[in-house]
Amino acid sequence: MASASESVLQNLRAQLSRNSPQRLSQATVSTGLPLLDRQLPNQGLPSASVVEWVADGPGLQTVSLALNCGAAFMKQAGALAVVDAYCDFHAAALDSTGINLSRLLLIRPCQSSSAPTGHRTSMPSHTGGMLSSTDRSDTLWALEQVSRCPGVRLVVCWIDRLSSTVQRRLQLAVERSGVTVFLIRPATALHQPSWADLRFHLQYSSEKADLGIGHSSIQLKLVKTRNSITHNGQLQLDWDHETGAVREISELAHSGSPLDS
Amino acid sequence: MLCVRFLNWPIQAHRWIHKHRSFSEPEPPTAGDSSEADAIQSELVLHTEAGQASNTTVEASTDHRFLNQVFPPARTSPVVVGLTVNAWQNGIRPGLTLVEARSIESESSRPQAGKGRQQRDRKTQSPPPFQFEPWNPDASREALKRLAERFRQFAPIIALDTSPLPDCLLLDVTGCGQLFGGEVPLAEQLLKTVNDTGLEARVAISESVAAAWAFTHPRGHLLFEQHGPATQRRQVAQGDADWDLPLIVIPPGQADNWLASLPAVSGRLPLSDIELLKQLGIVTLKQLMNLPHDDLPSRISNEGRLRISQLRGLDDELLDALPEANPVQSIWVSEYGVRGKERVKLVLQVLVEDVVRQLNVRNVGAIKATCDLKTEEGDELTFEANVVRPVQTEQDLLDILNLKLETLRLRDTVMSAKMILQTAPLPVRRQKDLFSAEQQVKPEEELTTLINRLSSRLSSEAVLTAEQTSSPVPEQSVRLSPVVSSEGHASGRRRSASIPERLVDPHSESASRNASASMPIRLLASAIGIATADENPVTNGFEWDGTKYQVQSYSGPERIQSCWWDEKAVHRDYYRVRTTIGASLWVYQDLNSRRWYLHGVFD
Repeated sequence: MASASESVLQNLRAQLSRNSPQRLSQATVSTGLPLLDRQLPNQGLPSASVVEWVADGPGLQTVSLALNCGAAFMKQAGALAVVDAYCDFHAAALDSTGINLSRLLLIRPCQSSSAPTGHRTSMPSHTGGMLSSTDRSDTLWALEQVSRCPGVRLVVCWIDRLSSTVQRRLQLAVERSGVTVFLIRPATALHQPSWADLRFHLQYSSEKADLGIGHSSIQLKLVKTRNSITHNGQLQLDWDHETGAVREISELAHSGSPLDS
Repeated sequence: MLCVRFLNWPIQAHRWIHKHRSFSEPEPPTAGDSSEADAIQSELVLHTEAGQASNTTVEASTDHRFLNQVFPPARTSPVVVGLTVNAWQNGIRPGLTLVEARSIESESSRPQAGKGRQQRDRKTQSPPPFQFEPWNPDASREALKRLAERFRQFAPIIALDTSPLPDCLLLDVTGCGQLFGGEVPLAEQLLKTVNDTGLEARVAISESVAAAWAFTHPRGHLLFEQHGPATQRRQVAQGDADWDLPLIVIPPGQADNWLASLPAVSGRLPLSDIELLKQLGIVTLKQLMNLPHDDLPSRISNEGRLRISQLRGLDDELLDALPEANPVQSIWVSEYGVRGKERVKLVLQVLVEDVVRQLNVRNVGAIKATCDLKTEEGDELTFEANVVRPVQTEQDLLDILNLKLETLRLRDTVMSAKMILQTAPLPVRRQKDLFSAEQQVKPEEELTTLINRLSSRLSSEAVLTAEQTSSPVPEQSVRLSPVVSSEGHASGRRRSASIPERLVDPHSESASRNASASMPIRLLASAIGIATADENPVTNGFEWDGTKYQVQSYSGPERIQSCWWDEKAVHRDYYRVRTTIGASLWVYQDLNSRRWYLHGVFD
């Protein structure tokens, strides 16, 4: 019974995807993870889109995974723009994701002339919004600017809260420019509405915690795709700390109820 | 970069200044004008004056300090600084005290024994063979700055040499060669302009300031000349002839080969470093540039290391551009003033229209705009906007100025506004194919506009590119540089202009995914203390950001140490820990203090 209803759901999703208006410019690129590609509409990450990566907490290799999956975008002309709201992006780690450091345009709104001066003594928490109003305003402005620019190929930005208005503006900007935007968001974003084309949720997987020293096990869920189609596909990923390589361990069984987007 | 060196500049400057006693003269007389001063000053010896060093400008004080280093007697008595060829041939040398020089002069003017009274009479009637005049370093510099205006037609960015007792001007001729049919014709025309002014010079064009300076100063600073004042008519020693050419143009990529044969003194190193290197047997630039880079800090000064890096092309050298005598500018003044940003934007629009008209007439673009606003209260508000590449359109210029204005607080009524532009030649515009879909949107042009906007609104320091360094210290492993330099452009400008192409190029060498993944993607600006020397957070856990973390597994230690001669030496053992809730964090123990710190997050 469960499998029959699941297959009905999958058929409905497929029909909805076929009938939804396709954006002409929306090519897709492979994430490099075949099981993940299979779960995605059009078998890959779409260009000219907004993709959210929501992490349960710090240290889950969210950004590294996002950059690994998005490295294929950098085979096209355009820069990688990182809007580093918390001013702690370490460019030296970029090479292990397959993206050349020379393609990086790093934007640090926290170092703008309007930012409050002084040394940050505490780590801005990515689990709850700690950006000052000035920093947030500058970050959102910079995010919108880079999203509009056809000279940029991929944007990565940490952002805690996003209003629907801003999200919609981002969507319109990327449709026009062809840029792909990766938004790195805290777990609290799961309870906020999303206009993103895709939303992923990363969690620590305690089931495979015994992979051994030098490995981490991450659970990656595809929570939402365009047109608010919810998903509940999950993947188990193994992360090799030494090489930075990511491999899929398994595709988990779908859970009973979908997550609200 | 082009370096134009005026030979035996103290003497040429003195003569040039005397020709144009008032700096208000708009055009100096050209060569060929006869002057009585020439006849009198035909044999000239310039010397310092007692107490001169304490009564001069900062730059002139620097000149005197350098003079004291090169010629120790200058500390206590006046010494010779510059002299003509004939004075040299009579035995006078730079660095001789004035008393010694005068005694040589009087010996040479004394009639020989056995000669008749007639000759003595002739001698007493003729003028003295040498003219001793006080040396004026400030006037020499001013003369160079005045000359710079004559060369504006060749390059918009001209700077004075930063060495003490400067004798040359540095021109950024990037992109200017095509206006003259090439760099060689440009240099030839410049040389002709110099000669028309009645001066002698040597010109070199190369990729960097350091190389161009070296090629025009093959024997180093003018005070180091051992064979007589530099002059193109001088009989040169065998082996030196190659460098005594009026014009040298080094093709791109060839500078290192040609620099190799020059002596180490042409590298602009401090005197103490030159002497040390001489003791070590290092006398050529080839030997200097072959020194292991990592060993340099322990042997030579910071300035010396910087000069070597500049010779190698590892470090950019920014030119401190001389302000134009006739810059592109516009002024708005009102009896009633305007209040509020919207109205000020309208004023900016008026100014921009005017300056863009001037830019079009001169066929140049703006690379920096400086706006001064004066309020009713008498306050002055100044803001600047820099761009990656020269702009010439009203919309582009107004856009970045308005973005800058948005970041300012403006409460008072603005009574006047002044806008001054720093200009540069426009880049070559390729004719676009009307029907080609590929050529309609150039990613690098779009990126340039984006960078200009980001830099204007946020600041130059907020828009950065990254470059790997060889330092093992994590916080120093990448060098972040602003794309748009807020200081003088020049070799920095050339670098800025090429950045958009590099950023969008999909064919750049792709990184290997097998590169070590030991670096976290987030590195805290300052490591956060998590445990004292007595505790071990790797085994006992720690607290961070209000959360207690227990470590499930860890790898390490990975020892990272900096060089022992670094001012802030680093000795750390790094551990990658995985906590029970799955967070991968980077902690280290400082081996000096034994304390523990959180440094990065594998996010």
